[in-house]
Amino acid sequence: MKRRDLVWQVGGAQGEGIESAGALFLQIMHEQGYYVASHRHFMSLIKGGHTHYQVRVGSRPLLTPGDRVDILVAFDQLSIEHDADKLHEGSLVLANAAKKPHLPEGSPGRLLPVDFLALAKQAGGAIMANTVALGATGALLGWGEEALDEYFTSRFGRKGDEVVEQNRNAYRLGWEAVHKLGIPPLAMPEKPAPGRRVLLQGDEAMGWGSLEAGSRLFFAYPITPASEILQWLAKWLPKVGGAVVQAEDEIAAVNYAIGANLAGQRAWTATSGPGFSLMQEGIAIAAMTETPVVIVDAQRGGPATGLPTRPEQSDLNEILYGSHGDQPRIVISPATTADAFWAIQAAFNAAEKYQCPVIVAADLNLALDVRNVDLEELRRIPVERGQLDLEPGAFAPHTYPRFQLTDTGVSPRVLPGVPGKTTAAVGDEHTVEGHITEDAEPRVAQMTKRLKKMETAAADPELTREALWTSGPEDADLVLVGFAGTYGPIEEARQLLEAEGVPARHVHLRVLRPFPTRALAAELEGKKVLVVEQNATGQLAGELRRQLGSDGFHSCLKFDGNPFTTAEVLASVREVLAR
Amino acid sequence: MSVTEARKVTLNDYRAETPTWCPGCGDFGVLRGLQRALVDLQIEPHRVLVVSGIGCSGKLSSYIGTYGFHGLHGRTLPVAQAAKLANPELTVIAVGGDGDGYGIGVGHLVHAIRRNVDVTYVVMNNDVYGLTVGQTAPTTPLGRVTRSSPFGSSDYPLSPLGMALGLGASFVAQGFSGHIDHLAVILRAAIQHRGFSLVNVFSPCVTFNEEYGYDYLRQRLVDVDADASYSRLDRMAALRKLAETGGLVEGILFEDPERVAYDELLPQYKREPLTRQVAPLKEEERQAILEAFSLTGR
Ligand SMILES: Cc1ncc(C[n+]2csc(CCOP(=O)(O)OP(=O)(O)O)c2C)c(N)n1
Ligand code: SF4
Repeated sequence: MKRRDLVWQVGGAQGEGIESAGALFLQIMHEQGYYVASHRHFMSLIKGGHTHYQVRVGSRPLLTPGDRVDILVAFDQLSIEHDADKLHEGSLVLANAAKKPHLPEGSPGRLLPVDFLALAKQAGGAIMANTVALGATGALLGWGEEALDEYFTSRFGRKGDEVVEQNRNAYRLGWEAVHKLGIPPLAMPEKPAPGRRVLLQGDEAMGWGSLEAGSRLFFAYPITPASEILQWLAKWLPKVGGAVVQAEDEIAAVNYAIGANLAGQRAWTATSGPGFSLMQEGIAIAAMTETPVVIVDAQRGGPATGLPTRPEQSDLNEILYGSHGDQPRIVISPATTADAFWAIQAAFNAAEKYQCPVIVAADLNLALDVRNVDLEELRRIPVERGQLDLEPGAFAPHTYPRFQLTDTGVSPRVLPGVPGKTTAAVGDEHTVEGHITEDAEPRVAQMTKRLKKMETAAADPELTREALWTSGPEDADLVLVGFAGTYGPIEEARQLLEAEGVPARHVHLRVLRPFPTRALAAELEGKKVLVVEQNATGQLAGELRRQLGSDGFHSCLKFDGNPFTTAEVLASVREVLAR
Repeated sequence: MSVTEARKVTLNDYRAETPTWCPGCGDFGVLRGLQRALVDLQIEPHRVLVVSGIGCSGKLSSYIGTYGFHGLHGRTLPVAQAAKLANPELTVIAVGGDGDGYGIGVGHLVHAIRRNVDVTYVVMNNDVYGLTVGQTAPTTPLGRVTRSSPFGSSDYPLSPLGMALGLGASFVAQGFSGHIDHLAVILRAAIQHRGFSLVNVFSPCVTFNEEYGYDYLRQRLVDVDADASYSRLDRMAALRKLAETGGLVEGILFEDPERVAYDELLPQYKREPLTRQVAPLKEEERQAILEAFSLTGR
C-alpha cells in the first residue's frame, strides 16, 4: 500500500554531524520532488547533549513535521529513549551497534543495530558515519545501492574525488549491512505532481521578503532563533547594493533601524525575547517621533535565557503591551514559513503608512523549521510608502507642520534632504511643528492624533482582510484559535477531526494590532473556544478576554520546550468536547 | 533632492526655536560654534541632520535650523550612523551631554569609533548631569560634591579623549564654548574629516557646576593648534599631551587620515541615498536568490 507520508529522524549528540545528515536527507527528498517538513531539536551547547532532526516526506503539502517516526536513526541510546513515544508497531530503529542499543520496555518497533562507526572507518573515516546511516536508510526505503552517487558528486565534488568516492563507499556499506537483513523495504509515499518548490525556513523567508519590500539595511545582534536572518542577509544584502551592520547590542540595533528609516530607507531588526526587552525604549521613540521601524521578535522559551533553543510564544504580552506610555503599534504575525515572506512586506508597508513601530510576532518553529513551499505561496505585495512629502518648500526652519493634525492621524512625512522643510522630530511631546511643549492642548491633540492612526489602520483593508486565516465550517460549535507557529498542529488536528466527522473551525490571528475585534467576535460568538498557545499563562486567551470582553475560553498550553504535536491538540479538543 | 540655486548660506538659515537654556549656559557657545562651522562650509541646512540625546545639551537639535532628531538618552550614535548609511549625501552630526555620551551611551561610542562611520560627534561636556538637576557625571572629578554624591564623588572620572585615542579613533579634538571662533574651526575640520570624529567641548553648566566655569577653563586650557611643534598625526604625542595637561587641552589633538571610513569597507554598498532604492528586487536579483535556494522544477 502506498503511504501518504513517511517520517525519518536522526538523533545523536551535538557536534556529531546530526544536523548535516538531517539537512542532506531533507534536501534529497525535496529534490526528489516530495513535499517535506522538518524540525531540528537542539540545545544551547556546541558539543554533546542531544539533538535530532526530524524530516517528514509526503505527497501533499505538510502542516507539521509529524508526530510519529517511521525510521529512527539513533547514534546513541539517548536518541532512542528521547523519542520512544514517537515509535509505533511498524517503526524501524537503526541504532548504533557500538553503543549496545535497546528499545525501552514495552516500546513498539524493531531494533536494527548497525555499526555506523566501524563501517565509516572502513570507508575512509569516522566522519562518514552519517553517510553510512543514509545508506542504511536507503536500504529500508528500497533505494538502490548507488542511489545517492550523484548527490555525493554535487555535494562533495569540491573536496576532491577521494571524498566523493569515500562517501559513495560509506553509503554502500551502510546499505549492504541493512539490505542483507532481508527486511521488506517500506513503501515511499506517492510522489506529488512536479512543481516549482523552494526549500527554506521562516528566517530566510523574512530576509528575502525584506528585499522584495525594498529594504536595503538590516541591523541586528546575534540571537537564536533570529541569527539566521542576519546570516542570510549578510550574504545577500551586499549583492543588491545594501548592507548589514552587526550592532553592538539590541538597544543599538533598534536605534540604528530607526535612524535609517528616519533618513528614508526601509530598515529593520530582528531578535528574540532578551533582545526584544532591550528594544522597548526604542519602540517608544519610534512611536513618539512617528518614525517607521520593523522589529521581528522570533520568540523562544523565556524568561531570561529560559530555553534559548526551544519554541515558545511567551513574549505576546510584551509584543502587545511592552514599552512605556500610550503608543500606536501594529503587530503582524505570520502563520507559516511562506507567510513569513508576506508578513515582512506587510510590516514595511504598514510601518511607512502609519509611521509607527511594526512588530512581527514570530516564534522559533516558524523561524527555523525548514520545509519546501510551492513558489506561488510566496506572495509578493506592492511597496507602499505611505504619505511622503518630498517636494521642496519655502518654510522657515522648523515651521513646517510635520505633525499636522489630520482626519486619519497620519501626517505627510518629510525626509532629511528636502529643501525648505527642515524639521526636528523630538521624543518630548511637541507641537504640530515639532517644537517641544508641555502645554495641555498640543499634548492632547498630538496624543489623540498618534492613537488615531490605530483607528485608521483598523479600517485598512490591507490589514483587515489579512487579519484572520480561517478554515473549517463556519457553523462548527468548536473553534480552535492560535497565532504564529502553532498553525500546523492546529490545522492538522482540525483536518483529522473533520475526517472523523467532528466539525471544527480554525481561526489563526495574523494581525494582532490593530486587534481584529469585530471579525473575531463574529467567529467566536456562542462557540466553544479552545485557544492553543505555547506559554504557561495563556497570554493569547487573556488578550481575547480583554479585547472581546467575554470569558469561558479554554486553553491548551504547552511550555515544556517542545513544539506542539497534533496529538496533543487533539487530546485537548477531546477534553473540551467531553465537558 | 533637487539642486537649489547657489545662494550664500547665512547664520540666519541655521536659526530655529529660541533656546531655553539658562542664561550663560555653555551650550549657547556650542550651538553658535556649530552654526558657524556649517555656514563657513556653506552647507545648506536641509542637507544636515543633527541627532541629539537627552539632557539640556540634547535640546540643541531644536535650536539649529537643520533636520533634527531628539532621540533617546545615550542613543544618538546608532541613529546618526544609520542615517548616514541610509543617505550618504547628508552631513550627520550627533550631539549630547557627557552623561549621554560617556555614561549611558558609552558602549555606542566605543563601537562608533571602531566602525568609523562618517559622523561628527559633539559632546557638550559640563562634568555634571544638567537636566536632572545636578547629579554626578562620568566626568565629575573625584571628591566633587553633587546632589547624588553629598559626601563627594567616589568614582574616578573618565578621560574621554584618552579612551577615544586608545580605541583607535580617527579624529579626536577638544573645544571650549568660551572660545567660539576656535570651536568653529575645530568643528569645521571634524565635519570635513572622512570618518568618525569626536569633539569633546567644555560647555560649562552655570547652574549646577560653578567650580568648573569659564574662568577656570580660560586660565588653564592649553591650545595645541597654536603650538607649531605639536603634530596632530601622532597618537602617542596626543596621549602624552593629555597626561601633561590633565586633559585641559584645546584644539585638534589627533587626526588619522589613513583609517578607512566604514562605507568604503562595505562590499558593493552603493554610496547613494538608499531612499532611491526602495523598490522590489530586480528580476535578475530575484532569480539569483531563487537559484541559490534548493529549487525544484527549474
Ligand atoms: C533611559 C533614561 N534614563 C534616565 C533619564 C533621565 N535623564 C535625562 S537627562 C539625564 C542626564 C543628562 O546629563 P548629560 O547627558 O550630561 O546632559 P546635560 O543635561 O548635562 O546637558 C538623565 C539621567 C532619561 N531621560 N532616560
Ligand atoms: S542646567 Fe546647566 S547645562 Fe542645563 S541649561 Fe542650565 S546651565 Fe546649561
